[in-house]
Amino acid sequence: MKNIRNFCIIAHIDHGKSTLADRLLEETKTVSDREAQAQVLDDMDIERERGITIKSHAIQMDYLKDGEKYILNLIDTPGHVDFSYEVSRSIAACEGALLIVDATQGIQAQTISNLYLAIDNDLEIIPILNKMDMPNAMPEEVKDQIEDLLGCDRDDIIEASGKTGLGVNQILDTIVEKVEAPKGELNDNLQALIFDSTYNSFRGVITYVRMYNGKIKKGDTVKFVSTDSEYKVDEVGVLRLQPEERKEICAGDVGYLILGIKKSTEVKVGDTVTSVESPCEKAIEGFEEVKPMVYAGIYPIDSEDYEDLRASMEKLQLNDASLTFEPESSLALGFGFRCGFLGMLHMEIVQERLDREFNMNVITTVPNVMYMAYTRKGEVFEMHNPSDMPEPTVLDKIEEPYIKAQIISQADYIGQIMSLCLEKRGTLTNQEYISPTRVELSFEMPLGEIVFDFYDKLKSITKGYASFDYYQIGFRPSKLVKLDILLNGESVDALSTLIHNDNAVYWGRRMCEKLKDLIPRQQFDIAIQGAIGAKIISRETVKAVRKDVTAKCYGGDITRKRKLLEKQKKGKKRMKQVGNVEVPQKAFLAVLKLD
Amino acid sequence: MSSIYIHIPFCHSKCYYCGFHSVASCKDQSKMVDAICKELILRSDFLNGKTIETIYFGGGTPSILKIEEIEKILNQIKSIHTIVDNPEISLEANPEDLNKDFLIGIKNIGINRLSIGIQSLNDDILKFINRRHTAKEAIEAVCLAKEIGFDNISIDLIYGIPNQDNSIWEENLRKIESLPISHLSSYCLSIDDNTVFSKKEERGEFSQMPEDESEMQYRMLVEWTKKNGFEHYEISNFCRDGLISRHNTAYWQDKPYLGIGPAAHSYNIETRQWNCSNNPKYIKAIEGGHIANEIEERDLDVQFNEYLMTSLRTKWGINLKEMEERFPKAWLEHLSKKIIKFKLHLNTSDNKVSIKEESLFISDEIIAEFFI
Ligand SMILES: Nc1nc2c(ncn2[C@@H]2O[C@H](COP(=O)(O)OP(=O)(O)OP(=O)(O)O)[C@@H](O)[C@H]2O)c(=O)[nH]1
Ligand SMILES: C[S@@+](CC[C@H](N)C(=O)[O-])C[C@H]1O[C@@H](n2cnc3c(N)ncnc32)[C@H](O)[C@@H]1O
Ligand code: SF4
Ligand SMILES: [Mg+2]
Repeated sequence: MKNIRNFCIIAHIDHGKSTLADRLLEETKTVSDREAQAQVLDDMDIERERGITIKSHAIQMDYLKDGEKYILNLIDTPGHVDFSYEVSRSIAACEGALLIVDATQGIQAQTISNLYLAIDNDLEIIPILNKMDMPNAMPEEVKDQIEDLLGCDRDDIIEASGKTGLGVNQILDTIVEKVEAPKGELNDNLQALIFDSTYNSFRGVITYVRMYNGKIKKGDTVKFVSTDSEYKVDEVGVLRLQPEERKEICAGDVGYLILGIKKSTEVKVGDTVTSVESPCEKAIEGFEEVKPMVYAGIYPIDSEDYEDLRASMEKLQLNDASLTFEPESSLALGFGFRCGFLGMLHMEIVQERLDREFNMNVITTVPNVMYMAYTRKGEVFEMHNPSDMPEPTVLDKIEEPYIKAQIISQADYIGQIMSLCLEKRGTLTNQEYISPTRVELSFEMPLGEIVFDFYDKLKSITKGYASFDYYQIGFRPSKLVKLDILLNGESVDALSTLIHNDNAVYWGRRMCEKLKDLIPRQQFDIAIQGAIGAKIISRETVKAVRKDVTAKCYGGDITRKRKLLEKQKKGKKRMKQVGNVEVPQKAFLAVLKLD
Repeated sequence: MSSIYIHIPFCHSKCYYCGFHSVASCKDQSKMVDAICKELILRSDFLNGKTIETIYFGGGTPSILKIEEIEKILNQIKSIHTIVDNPEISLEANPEDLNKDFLIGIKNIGINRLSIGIQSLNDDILKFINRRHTAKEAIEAVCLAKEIGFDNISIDLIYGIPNQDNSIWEENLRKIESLPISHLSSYCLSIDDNTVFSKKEERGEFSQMPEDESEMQYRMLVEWTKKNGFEHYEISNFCRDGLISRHNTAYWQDKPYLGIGPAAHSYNIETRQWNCSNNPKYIKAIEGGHIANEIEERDLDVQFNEYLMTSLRTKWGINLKEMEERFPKAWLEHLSKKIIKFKLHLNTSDNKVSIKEESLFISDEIIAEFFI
């Protein structure tokens, strides 16, 4: 065990974690030339297409130093805020972290928040100055920033490049030297933390564990502390590029277990695995419950797929512990689930994974944050859905969640940032120069104003220079009204939103205009109306389809015509029947793109 | 019963809207005729000895051919296949080719139906779409054909042409009122790939007529045909005295057909095939004794979709009883749900379902939804 090192790679998004991981894997010959490709650990299609990491990915490497063999367990983590839960769970499985900072960009908001996560968990931090090969690298300036932030020795910052491989050996040596070997006792009772899991249609649930004490081998009988359910161990192994079966895995290791579990709800990430014969005394401290930032309904396009959707979501949840959901029903859409997400990207990814991995065609409704509703009778309840809003006669007040936002940027952009934040109902609480040219601004603002497109806007007004992090600071009363959308006179609950009274009329109008563009012509005119209470505030019409007998059926070319119609039909796949109107998936997200 | 289609891939010049395969040079014309005759031999088994009910010379411009060339092809067909007693033998013709000698010639060799491409009866529009004839010449050609003894004459008209506004369109319809025709095909202008119009559209020099206006023209057309005793038997086809195009109807009724010549399509229930649409390549392959074509095997879902697509274009519609015998139950359940959804647009009686005349204009929308 003294030769094991468990560490993760953390950083702000795009600072080069996965690319540097490639170099480490290459240097330790964990990945053969044949298997090698850029960001090899980003093995999901969505990750490769989007060029970002979504899931943490653990992999074991062998390393020889001074004649000693070491086992290094690396966990590459995502940088995007929406996946920070992945980072926090990875951190719990490690004793050290490589903190990567892009030498061309310097410290950014997630550098800081991920660093604090690691420090809270007593991880040894190894600072790395990455992308040193780039001509616009600013090593001295960024080293100043890192020194200030970490209070470390300037010489401890390793200069590296995921492109050229600069610094890779130094990083590996430093890990061996500085990161503590895992504590734990091989002879103690089994105690292992489930930090992730996935579903395999042949093998059932595969759990990824960090072994704290004891060991585990095929044939053992184990149980989960939280449920007391017992299982026989089918297979244990370690995580190389592909999982590799081992006779046993021991205290200090990172590995996987297959326990023949077919029902995905039996496994909970954060649970402790122990032995039935001699259970450990207490569970390992699990993970903090995730607090969703946004909620939206997910509904099957075909109502008959509801149960399939539930099973798919349960399986997906195994691999995405930050996803929460509970059943709900909508007048417009039938039965579905109210889901909690960590942000808009997270929501998009969940929808896409349901489609790709489970072949589930779903509609995602207009997202919203969680509100607190107070009734005149003095009741208080959480509103996860605008349609939960009490009648005006019953309602006393509504509170909305506020956040503290930290924005780091070049000082040149202060003006633009301030006006954006004011527009989003924010108030400036602090302004601090962290270097002569860089400033950190703190705002308090409603969460509802930032979850949708705030970050995109911030990046565009600052040409990509600003970074941003936030945390919730509680609820505050707010003048919110419910904007309903009516299609042919029927209110569509899935399109309702809560918005601030001052913006209501403008939003109502824009929303109708946007929907008009997004709802395709159908066989009859469709009236789109925006309403607040009984008052109609805006109206648009989608005229009926007039003609579509376009391609001729001539000369016996039936194939071409069929393909054209098949294409037309495919376009309909993502549409949900609401009353007698077909509403495309993207219409439900229309509110997010209103300018 | 089966059909033969012969594709003549030559035109005097290309019309700006036309994406059908043809070239504006006739230098390989006699070689092409030989190749067509040879392909007829090479594929003599394609129709499994079924009798031929219709023969159709299409294009391109079949009226470019010499009488002897058409005769040669017809004789070749007769020498290989059995033909019913009263076949329909059609030829597509462009007005400028229809002189007296030519008309007498083709009548004598057995052509009994003419499909004349008039497109418009407005000279500005004819110029705009690059036709080689005037409105007057077109009208004269139709009358001459009738005089010479053709009793089954069809004309083609295009609506939805930008610049051809409702009043010009109405005038077109008025002008054909007195023509001795038994059949009318009228398609809405579509912008097909590789045409002058599509290139112009890309460059922003051309824009299509707004849907509402072309829909209006379609309604005017349907109105007019009703008043003038035409039967609306397919989305874009109308006939008098029961003189439907038997050939085209075979396409819509799932009957086998053999297509000869470059770019021609063939169908024998199990497969659809189409010849390569390059004249020299086509000729070279045929001369070497083989057919340059692509073959598509038809899976059951393709059969299902194509049956719907072709049948629903016609007034006869689909036959649910027949479908039950051919296709899985689940597909028919899907179909009946959709039938309920679109019931406002459908005629349903016994086991037949067809699209109502007033809803034909959105048949693509309906058919696409019926697809499996
Ligand atoms: N020039 C140069 N480019 C690099 C280096 N490291 C990464 N990149 C590029 O930076 C981009 C982001 O790299 P990734 O490795 O995917 O970054 P990441 O930190 O894993 O990103 P997330 O996982 O999405 O947070 C890619 O285009 C890489 O090719 C480097 O050292 N030098
Ligand atoms: C294959 S063309 C051959 C007819 C013949 N060559 C002629 O021009 O008279 C058959 C008919 O299809 C119609 N057509 C061709 N291209 C079209 C288009 N892009 N849009 C609408 N109709 C079209 C025309 O009415 C044309 O007469
Ligand atoms: S419409 Fe007729 S003449 Fe004009 S290019 Fe097409 S086939 Fe040739
Ligand atoms: Mg990455």
